[in-house]
Amino acid sequence: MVQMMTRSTGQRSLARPTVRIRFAAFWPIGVAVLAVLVALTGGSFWEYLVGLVLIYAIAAIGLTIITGLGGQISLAHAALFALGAYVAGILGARGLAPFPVTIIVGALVGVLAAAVIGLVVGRMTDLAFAIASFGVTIIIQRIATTFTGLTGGYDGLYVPPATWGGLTLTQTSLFGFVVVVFVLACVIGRRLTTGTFGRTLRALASSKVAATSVGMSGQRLRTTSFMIGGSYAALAGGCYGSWSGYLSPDQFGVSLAITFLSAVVLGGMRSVLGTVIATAVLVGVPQSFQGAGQWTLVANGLLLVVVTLAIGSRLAPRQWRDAIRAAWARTPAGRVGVRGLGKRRRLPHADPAESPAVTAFRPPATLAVTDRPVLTVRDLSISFGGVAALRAMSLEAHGGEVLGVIGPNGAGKSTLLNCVTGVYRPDSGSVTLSGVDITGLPAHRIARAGVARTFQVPQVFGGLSVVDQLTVSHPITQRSSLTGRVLGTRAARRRAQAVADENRQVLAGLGLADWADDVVTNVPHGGLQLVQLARALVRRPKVLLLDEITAGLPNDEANRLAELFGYLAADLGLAVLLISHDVPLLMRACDRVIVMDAGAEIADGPPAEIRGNQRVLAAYLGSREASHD
Amino acid sequence: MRALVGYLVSGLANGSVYGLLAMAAILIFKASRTANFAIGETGTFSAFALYAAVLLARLPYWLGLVVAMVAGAVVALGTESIITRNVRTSLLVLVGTLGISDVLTGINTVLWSKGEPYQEPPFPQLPQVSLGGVGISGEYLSIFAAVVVICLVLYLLLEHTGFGLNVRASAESPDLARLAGINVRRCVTVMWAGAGALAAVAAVLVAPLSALNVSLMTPLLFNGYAAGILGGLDRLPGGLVGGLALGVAGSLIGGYVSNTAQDAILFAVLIVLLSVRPNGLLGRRVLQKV
Repeated sequence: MVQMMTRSTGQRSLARPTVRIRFAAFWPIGVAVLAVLVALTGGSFWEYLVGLVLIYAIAAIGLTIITGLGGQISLAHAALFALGAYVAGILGARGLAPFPVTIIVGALVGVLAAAVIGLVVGRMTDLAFAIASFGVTIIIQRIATTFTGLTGGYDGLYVPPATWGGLTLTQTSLFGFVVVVFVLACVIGRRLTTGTFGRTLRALASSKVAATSVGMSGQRLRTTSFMIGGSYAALAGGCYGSWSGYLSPDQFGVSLAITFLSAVVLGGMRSVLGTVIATAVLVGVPQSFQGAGQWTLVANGLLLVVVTLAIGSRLAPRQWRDAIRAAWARTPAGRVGVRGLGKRRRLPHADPAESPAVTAFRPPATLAVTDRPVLTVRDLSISFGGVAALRAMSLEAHGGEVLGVIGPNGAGKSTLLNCVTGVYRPDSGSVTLSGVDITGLPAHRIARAGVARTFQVPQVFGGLSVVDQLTVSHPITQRSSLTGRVLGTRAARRRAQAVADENRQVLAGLGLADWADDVVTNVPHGGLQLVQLARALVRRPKVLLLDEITAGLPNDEANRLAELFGYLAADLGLAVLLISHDVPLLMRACDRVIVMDAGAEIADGPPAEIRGNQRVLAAYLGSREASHD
Repeated sequence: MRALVGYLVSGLANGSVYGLLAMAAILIFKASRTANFAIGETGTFSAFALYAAVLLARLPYWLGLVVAMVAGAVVALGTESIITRNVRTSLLVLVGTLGISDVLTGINTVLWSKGEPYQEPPFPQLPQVSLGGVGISGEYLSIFAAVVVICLVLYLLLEHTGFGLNVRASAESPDLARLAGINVRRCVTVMWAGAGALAAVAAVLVAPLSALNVSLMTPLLFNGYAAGILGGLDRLPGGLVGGLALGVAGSLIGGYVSNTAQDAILFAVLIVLLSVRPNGLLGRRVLQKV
């Protein structure tokens, strides 16, 4: 039964992308044809304007990657645009390089600058980053103003007409060049935004703590997104120089940065087509307001206000809003809205014995459950302000064992988990994984070393589908080359298919097959715990840390899940560390139980022994004599 | 020495203005967890309101000041009720407030661009004071006095009245405050109105120093936000400290290094500072709870 369900879901998922890939391949060409038609019929003014829109759109697509997917509000995009424009312009004006080379060099310089921005300002909080990136735009603008020898300062820099093999390119052939660059930018941008890279960036933006818990390096991803987005901006800047023929610092100020940002936001944040349309509106429509004289600015402002309200407001009619949002923000994997309202779905039962979650991972070699602990925690201490949350906590977890951790509220159970996984840095003590010291490493490196976890309050990647939670977390996805994925090489597609198959199998094994293509936010609380478990499992960890995973699940399902842990530990050799308030469940599911109170261990032993332990009773019931013993 | 004191004083005066804007930004951030990029233009609008009230309607200065502050508060409340209250995501709010900013610039242009630049009626001046042989002009002194009075009023209102307690509670945790029976909606309204009035005062203080024109506050908006972020967006005093630090640093760089590259260097320093202290100078490190 489970197998059949999986197969039908699999077919559905194969059928959908085909249609989308066709649309994805054709709309940039459609836009290009439209642009050429307008340019041809409209005369030189329209040709210039359309070229300008296409160039700005290229830059805005780059910002879609940084802001729309990565969630970083960047006002430095104008700076990168200016950098590309000036580098290409100066090279061209001094005859240092022929036409398309100038633009490529400009783009490369832009990538380098973007890498620096990503590294230096990448760790700031949202608004701080916005202001810092604004600073970058100011700095570049001032440099352009000050170094008049190179840039001409406010007198401007005249960019010579592009030549190709001794021939000067006409405005029309330059237009053709811009259109080609635009189409390429759209196609690649679309691959980036809808592919696993875009979903990975969205995952990071949606929950940093969950993203690092599955081994994503926030710093590296952000820098990569900056370099890609920056290359778009600088490339567009280079084209701009050739297209307008004249560069001056005041063309690259805050208002340009704001135009890019507005295009991304109004375009629906992560839709390349949306960004292109929004750019056309933001750049093109004000041109038609020119006749309004002094009222131009008012009209521009009202345009922004009205579009913002139409997209994001509670005032707009509900159906209208939903339709816009659905059309705008649609991605292949995630659908907006609640599917099957009224058709109440229950989480199907997981059947541990046949669970593909177990069989999918069954390692080829027979497992030897060793006596050497997989995870060793020694004298771990941490305090927040004056509160000592952990006081010299120690424990060992062995492969093949389910280890329960219980304790009253505030005993430090979750803090222990957060210290082990790198969410907090312990003040002292050590954490060792299979003999390797992982104390105080950043969370993503601990995750890569083989520690996987779930969170008490589910931390999922909002906006992504259930199956995509697993896709972005899968080590194969994370290791595969970005270039391969963008080009869609055979190897990349094969890997993606293998990952997809495995993910669906794991979901089916946990009884989540029906939810696989739903947006994760539609899944009820208990189901989210299972999604987190599935996400942890595809990491193939050595140690699995589960924080109150049975909370929110009905009793029978919780019991089945507890049974599953036994299989996971026995069959895969995992060390499963189970934190729970549900004492009866722990006593049934665990091989060994550790009891914590006030940040330290007070008992350690098999369930039967713990049940009768006086200190444990004291910790839970507060008996006076017992606590002194 | 004489030059240094001069730079310090003018830096502190500029910094006071940044600080007022930063406090407006912080009030808005605390009330709605978003930015309002229209507060600069809100200030410009109010500065023109003062001009109109005092020089055209012939009202006394203090009444004009009230008019300007009310104008700032009304514009801020308009921004809140049109954009911030209705739009869900903070990025859309940001773009929406940029739209409001454009509209305000447009209105200012339509109303005032003919006779630019104007001479803003000066803030009542204190007598010049000499400090170690260096004269400090009354203009600057009255700015300092105004900022001190404003901070004192804000401090007393927020820390020593029941309503201030309500406001602080709803800024800290709107849901809990609501459960405790606090009218959070009203607190948010008051904070936005206060932010608008602060932006108005900032503009009214800075306008007499330079010429009053439609782009009076445009360059100051980001300095105000930079000051708020430098100080740490979670506390009002942080805004003032950030503003003063930014003002003095800018003035010293302008005086001793380069006048044209002043803001470029200033922002470079700011970027380095923020990458070392991401939560600002006075900001608290927020511990993530999972």
